[in-house]
Amino acid sequence: MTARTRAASGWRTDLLVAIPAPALIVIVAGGLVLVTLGIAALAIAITGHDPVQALLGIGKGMGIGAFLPGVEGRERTSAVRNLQQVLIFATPLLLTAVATALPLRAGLFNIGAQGQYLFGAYAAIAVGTADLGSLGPFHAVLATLAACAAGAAFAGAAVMLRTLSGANEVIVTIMFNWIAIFLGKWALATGGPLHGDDPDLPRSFEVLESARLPAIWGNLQAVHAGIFVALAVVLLFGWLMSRTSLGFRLRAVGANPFAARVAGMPIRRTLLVAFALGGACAGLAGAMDLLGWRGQLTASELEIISGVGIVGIAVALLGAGRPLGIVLATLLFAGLQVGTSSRNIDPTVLPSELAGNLATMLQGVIVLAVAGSAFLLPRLQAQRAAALATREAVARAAQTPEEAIA
Amino acid sequence: MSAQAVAARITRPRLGATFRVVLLAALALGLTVALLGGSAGDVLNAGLVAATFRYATPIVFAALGGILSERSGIVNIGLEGMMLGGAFFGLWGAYVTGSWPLGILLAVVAGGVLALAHAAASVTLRANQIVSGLAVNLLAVGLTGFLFRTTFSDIGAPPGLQRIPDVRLESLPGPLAVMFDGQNLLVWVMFLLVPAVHFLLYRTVGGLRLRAVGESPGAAATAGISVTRIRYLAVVGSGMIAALGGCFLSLGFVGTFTENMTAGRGFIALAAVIFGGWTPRGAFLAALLFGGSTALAQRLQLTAGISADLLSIAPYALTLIALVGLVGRHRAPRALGQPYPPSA
Repeated sequence: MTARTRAASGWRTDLLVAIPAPALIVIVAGGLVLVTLGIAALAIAITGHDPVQALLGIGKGMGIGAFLPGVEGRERTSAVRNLQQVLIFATPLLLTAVATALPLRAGLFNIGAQGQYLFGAYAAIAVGTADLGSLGPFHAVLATLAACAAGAAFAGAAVMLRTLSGANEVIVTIMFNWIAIFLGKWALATGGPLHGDDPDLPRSFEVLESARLPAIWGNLQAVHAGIFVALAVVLLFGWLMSRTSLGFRLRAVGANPFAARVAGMPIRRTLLVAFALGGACAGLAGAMDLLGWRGQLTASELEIISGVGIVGIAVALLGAGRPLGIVLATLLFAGLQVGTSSRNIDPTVLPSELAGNLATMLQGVIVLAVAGSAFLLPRLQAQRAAALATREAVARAAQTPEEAIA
Repeated sequence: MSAQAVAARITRPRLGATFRVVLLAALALGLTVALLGGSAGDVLNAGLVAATFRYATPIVFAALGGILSERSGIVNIGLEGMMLGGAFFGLWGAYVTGSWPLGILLAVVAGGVLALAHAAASVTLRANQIVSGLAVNLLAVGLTGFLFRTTFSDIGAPPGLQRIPDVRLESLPGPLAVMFDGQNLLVWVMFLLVPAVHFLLYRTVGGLRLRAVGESPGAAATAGISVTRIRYLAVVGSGMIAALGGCFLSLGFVGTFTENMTAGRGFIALAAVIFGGWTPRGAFLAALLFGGSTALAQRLQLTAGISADLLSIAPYALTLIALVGLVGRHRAPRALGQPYPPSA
């Protein structure tokens, strides 16, 4: 028996060959979900809470009930409100995911969506709280554009450091995040340029009514028009990457910068464009949050609200940098985040400060598992194909010449 | 690159990092003197040196870990998470067992386990090493926050905690006593670990193999070295050392744990690795520089009355300046970031 035929025998190979190719994908994906849920259940059980109740509680906090029949009355009202929260949180997340995914297609990691989001938020606050006369709805447009420009400039500065000096872009963008946070704390403190009128609170003014985004669904904490902007940007991102020459250039530089340079593509300029576009998206995320939802910035919450820039990295990776993937991954992570927030989860089922950390932990597990299976799945598929081919060859060799001719 | 150049690269540590650190330190000190004028002496004294050691210690630990991992060819963005793991589990271990040595032990084990996850994903499953490292960071932030809230939610800081002791050296003369008396035991461990890692890398067979695997895994494998085994050992070791840095923060320095308390020090350590040219001595000096900038900023805030928020930017900004302006022509380990074998 040769090594090759040995490789094609054994229970593991039998199993692999018995599974149809499409089912293999489903099984690996299902395995990921099971592993993630298993770890979640284990962590919850350790703390002495009921895992099933807690996971159902998180699902309830996501507003899944809004899609189920038989959920009526107050239950329904609260489910709808939870769902609205998910969409509000999904808005910036879609955008920070694109902010990571776009430069990644050009081969660079933008870990700086957090800082770019904050710069967008600062610009949106600066313009949105300023009385600019009778601009009408253009006030919101102006504030949004300022935020995009701020995010793009901040990201562009980071990548310039990379392309001009060879400094590692991951570390550069992470340092930029911290700098953005502390700059914001300084700007919002008493005497700072963004500080409002309360001398005791490091807080900005409220965004003026003319700069607010229109609400489209719900009252109190309504889903705002930003969700359409975010979805449009995701679609635009897909179109840019697959249908334009700029997208082709980005992909070419990402796939093989040396080949791209030989083909006459300007590497540095392409990377700058990729980062500037990504930064603009992250800045836009800040603007949508501020103009559509929060309306005000407080120094103490900067780190927490800009966490959406970090989650965006996980979304971009889980969504494989593709528009549909990003939308689905955003819904999952926004749901996780909202479902575990103090407003939404029943504290008797699982205290929210535990649940919030659980969500972060699960994001790590999911990214790790997806990153690992990105290698595992193709290898399993290749092994399956090889085993099939070997078995066929063995079977043919076992035939007598007469059978083979017949 | 010629075979000779590769050999030189593997066998000889580099110079040059020292020069750049001194240059930047002089710049920072010059700025301080310009800012404070005559009262600069109140800030620039032996006390500043002592504070520099304290702030640099966690960064040095993480940077030494980073060197082990990166010299074997594995990018370790997860240092931050491994530090955080060490910070929580060190404190928790000391709290539960009532003994700080067991706390340190648990911290090291926790860092090793987190690093094992990184190694499994990036070595065996050949995942993108940056993605895998980021995932470890997310995992560590969530896990430590979760466990912290579970165990310490009602008490905040654990009472009756046995911290890692400080080393008393009162008999030292004048300024030396200010610098070294009362430093935590782990500061001294850090001082010893720098030459130890240097020795390991440049004077042992294992170190030679580790560097060979990071430069040319194919050649190393041909020579009979198991690339997978070396990389696993290097990454797990890197997590264990980084965890010591986190353990110093919680169990040695502050005496409590706060969520995400490492605040980017793992990434500053990575910058120190690069700035120090992937050598223990260079990274040590770079970490001293970054630690010194934090210490200096703390003091300036008190003396010069500059906004604490703006001064908090100093270590991050200095890290950037160091990375960008003075990286020089150091070359990363040749196989850094590449899985082995290269194709499935």
